[in-house]
Amino acid sequence: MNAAAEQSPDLFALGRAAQAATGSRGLFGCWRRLLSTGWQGPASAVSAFAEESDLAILGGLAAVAGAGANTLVATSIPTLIEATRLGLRGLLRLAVIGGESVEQQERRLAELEERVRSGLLVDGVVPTPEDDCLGLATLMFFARCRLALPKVPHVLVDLDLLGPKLGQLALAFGADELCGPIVAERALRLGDNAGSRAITRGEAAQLLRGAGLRACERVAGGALKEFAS
Amino acid sequence: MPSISEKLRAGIPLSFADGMALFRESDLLKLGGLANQVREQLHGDRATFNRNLHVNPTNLCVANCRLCSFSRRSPDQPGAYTLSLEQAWGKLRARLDAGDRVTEVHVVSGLHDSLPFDYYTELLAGFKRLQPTLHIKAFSAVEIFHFHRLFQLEVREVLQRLVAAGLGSLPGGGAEIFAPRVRQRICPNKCDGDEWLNVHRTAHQMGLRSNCTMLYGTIETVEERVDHLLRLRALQDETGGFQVFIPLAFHPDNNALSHLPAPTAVDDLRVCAAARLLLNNISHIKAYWVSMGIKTAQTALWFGADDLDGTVQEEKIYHLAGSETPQALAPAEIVRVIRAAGRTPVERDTLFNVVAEGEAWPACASSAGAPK
Repeated sequence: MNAAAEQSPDLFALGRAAQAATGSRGLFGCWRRLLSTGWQGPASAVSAFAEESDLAILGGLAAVAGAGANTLVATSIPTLIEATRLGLRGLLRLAVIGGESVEQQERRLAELEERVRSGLLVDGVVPTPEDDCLGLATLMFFARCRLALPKVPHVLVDLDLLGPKLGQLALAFGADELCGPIVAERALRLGDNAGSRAITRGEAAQLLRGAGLRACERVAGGALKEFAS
Repeated sequence: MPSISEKLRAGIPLSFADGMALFRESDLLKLGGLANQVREQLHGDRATFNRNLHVNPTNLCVANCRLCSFSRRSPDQPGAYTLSLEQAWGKLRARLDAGDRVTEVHVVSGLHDSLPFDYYTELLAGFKRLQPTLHIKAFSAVEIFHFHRLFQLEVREVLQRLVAAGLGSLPGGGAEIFAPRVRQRICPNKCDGDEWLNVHRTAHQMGLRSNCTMLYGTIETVEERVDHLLRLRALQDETGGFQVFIPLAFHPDNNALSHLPAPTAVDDLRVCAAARLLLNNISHIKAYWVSMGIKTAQTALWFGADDLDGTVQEEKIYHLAGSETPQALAPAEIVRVIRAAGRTPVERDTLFNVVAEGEAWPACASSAGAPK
């Protein structure tokens, strides 16, 4: 745990310590998800992912990798290990549990950090609030993830789950990457499209910049490119 | 920022240039920390809410504002409606029959071109007959100005007649952004900024209290936001009649500005914090959960806000513009949100008198993991 956060465990000190640990760069890229009905999202997406909860219906990890997925969003460590063994980018969802004490959270994160130090490959964690979790609890969990998991490269915001509002705030509390429905062009928010959570690449960059981060895009081949417009 | 901190410590009102610096401060947590200091000096860890009911008697409106998703131009348009008095009263009756201890009804409408003035006075009188202790917060300054024009009555006389019928205070809507450049483009047919302020000035001179707002996130510049806030502060210096400032986030769904992105949460918190710091003479800052979303509004309780509005029930205006919040929050849920933020819930009435606090809600929620 970062010393600043230990000594002054208030919201602003925690956020500030997490920000300092994050650095100045925020990442985004287009994502598409493998479902039993096929791919959802743009074909040009650089992150092609499957959720662990869909693996059974998708025919297992090998089938997912064979279908072109390059990322697995896991909920369990054995599946994560298996995914990284197959060459997939391994992301791990971490539940934000309503009512969980700070001590319980820190113990959970310390155990994960210990496993990472022992060789577990986790490219990023995705804080995933349970239904009854509110905004501040979620933001503080993001900050604790960033501070307690220094060996995990990324803390990701699931935009589909958090929405752009809370998602952007998470960027001020230690998150450094946006994942979710980021598209090249979004239809106007009229009629059936009202309430759509899809955001454009430009809007993703705006969210990152609004949170004080430099916007960088994941492009083909795993490279990162400063987003210019 | 250092000079701003010094001014705040010395109780010196911030200048226009200070306001610009607040909005341009890239470190959200620094801005929030400053606003939180002021908020805690004023209100400690208390966060207020009330039990209210929103009634929107009609959405027929002659204003045709580009920012609006609620209004309809003619009764033939899909979704157009005008409530009969019985229908409007029935909304309150249903709440009272359910045992709800609602203390306020909040009434705002479209600018209808043919309903008689008696409709509005009888509407208020009927609410009072149902619940004599009820506080009626009704008709934005834009509506009051519309009544003044439509019925050829002085603003003061409009207000006097409404007070006689039961009006208790004015809501703060319709202020949008005072700058003529913006108003001309987003709401050209509404009263202008001076007229809006003058309605509130008249109300305050009559002893009425009112709320004030700013709609942000359309086409306004930072300069225009600061100008708007300072004009509110100037009227408050003159009359002292504003109770609370409410930042209102623009919602782009289903209106003529749907090509614009919605304001971000950082915008929401920045406006909230900057308002807390600039509006040194307005006691309360409201995080209106319907507009901000519940999670951002909860966070705003640490960025200058000390009030979450109320239980609301049946909000239409923001929901037609894409708000994803529920139509209502039960008091227990509001208490849970406040406690989970590490704040102490206090139920208030419209005039910010305490209705209930302390152990009034013993088992609503814990504050485990809340900010300290």
